[in-house]
Amino acid sequence: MTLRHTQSSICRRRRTPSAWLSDARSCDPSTCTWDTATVTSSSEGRVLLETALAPARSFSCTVAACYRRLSLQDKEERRRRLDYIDFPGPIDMKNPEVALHLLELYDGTVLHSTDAPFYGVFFALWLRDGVRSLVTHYSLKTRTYINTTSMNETLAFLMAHQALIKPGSVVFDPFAGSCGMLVPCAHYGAFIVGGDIDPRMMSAKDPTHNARMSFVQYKLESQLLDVVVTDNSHSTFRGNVKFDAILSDPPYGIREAAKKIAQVPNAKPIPLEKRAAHIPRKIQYAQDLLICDLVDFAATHLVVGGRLVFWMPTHDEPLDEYVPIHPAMRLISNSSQPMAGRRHRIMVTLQKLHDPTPTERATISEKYAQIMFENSRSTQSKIKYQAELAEQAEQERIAATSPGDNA
Amino acid sequence: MRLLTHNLLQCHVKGCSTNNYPLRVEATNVVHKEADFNPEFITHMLQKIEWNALRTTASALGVAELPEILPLSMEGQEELLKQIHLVLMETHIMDGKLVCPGCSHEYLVTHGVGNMLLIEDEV
Repeated sequence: MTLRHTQSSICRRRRTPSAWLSDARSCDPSTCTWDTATVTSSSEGRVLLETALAPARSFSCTVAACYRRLSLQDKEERRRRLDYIDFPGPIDMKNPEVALHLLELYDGTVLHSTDAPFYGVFFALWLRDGVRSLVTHYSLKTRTYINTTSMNETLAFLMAHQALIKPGSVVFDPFAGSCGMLVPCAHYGAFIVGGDIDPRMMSAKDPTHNARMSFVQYKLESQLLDVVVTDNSHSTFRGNVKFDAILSDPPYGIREAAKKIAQVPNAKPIPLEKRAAHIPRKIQYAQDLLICDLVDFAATHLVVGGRLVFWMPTHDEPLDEYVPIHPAMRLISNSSQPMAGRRHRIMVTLQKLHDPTPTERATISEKYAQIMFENSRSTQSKIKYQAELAEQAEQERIAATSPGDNA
Repeated sequence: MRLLTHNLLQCHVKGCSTNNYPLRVEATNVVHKEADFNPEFITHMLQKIEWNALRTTASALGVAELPEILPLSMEGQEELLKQIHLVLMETHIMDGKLVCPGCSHEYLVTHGVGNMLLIEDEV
């Protein structure tokens, strides 16, 4: 269980997948000098390099520096220092089978100076290119259809990675909105079902203004199965429907109010002809209940091994104990992003272990429910919460004063 | 709404828990839109759909007559897969109603988007 990865630390890990053959960060910068001994000092690194180069695979070695420009002569000279390594294969700078990278790091506070202090040297094996360019391609700035809470494209891709999206996966988001989180999944070849309580987001009445637009823009329309108007608190899917992944950024009640259809006792039935235009009354949806409903939904409607990735807000330190617990789900990670004030939002990844029995339900800590209520903007819900607490205390008092009744 | 999505949905009115699937389609506008044929995806989806519900709905809408029983293996069944593809992926309910066979609740489909919300007296 990992606590508090920041967004950047996960991104950094994803950015350049490479195997480090040496790591200058383990050296003391004051004593670390650029000599061959530091380059393949670890035995682990040496084995990795020997395995990569054998048997006689072609190779290239790219030299680069951070915070200093190296001339061609400098680069050539650095390469010569690697002479002591046994390279069995031929050199191929264009299409090498093994690409090696030698990176020198200088003190970044003295930019492009020839005498910036030397910090260390990294020698690494290229594994594959990163996917940073996707972030520009799918930038929200150039997206034709967004709303106030559309998910940032980097984080949306991060979620798709966490959810292990594969070509042909069927992915659902119960709070799809403008489908910001589903676009990266579609990019990876998944088929998308989007749900939202707001018919205006989903409606195809205006062909230029609906959730479908995001897919049309990126020529991913073939990946979008459907959008449906649904309410997270009442699942409309047949019980044995299984999605391969569920991704969601539920409303936090901060920028976008969390709502569900109100239960109105003795409500007048709406005549059939007026139903099309009728917008049901919605009520505030308490954050802890919303999250539990979402986790329960995922426990039922995921394939075994499938993942639920979602965001939840906290008004306090992002602790592990705030993450909802479900007996049929396992916590994979809990990553936090600091927001304004003392708020954080945490990205939770849960994996389904088995089909839940009817008694296995999601639970969330009392403390979480309490801080979310205390920080709620709605005075109404605060008053209601206090009334509930008072009533509970009253009942406990009654129970405590009449112990003989049950005996 | 594709017939694939229709196959996933059931009536969820409070207390309506038997005979609530599949929803009967009373469509005023059903259209055919070409979609890329992806045999692997169709085979994958066959594990997720209710075959009988799909068969009866396709037949009621006059889209295709699917066999009563699916062959054990889909290998070499290109024709059948194409027919399933036509039903699942290319048939869209644009306007109409989905009616629960048990409680007769009606869910509206407008502009190709189904509205599965219940109203206050039904939740």
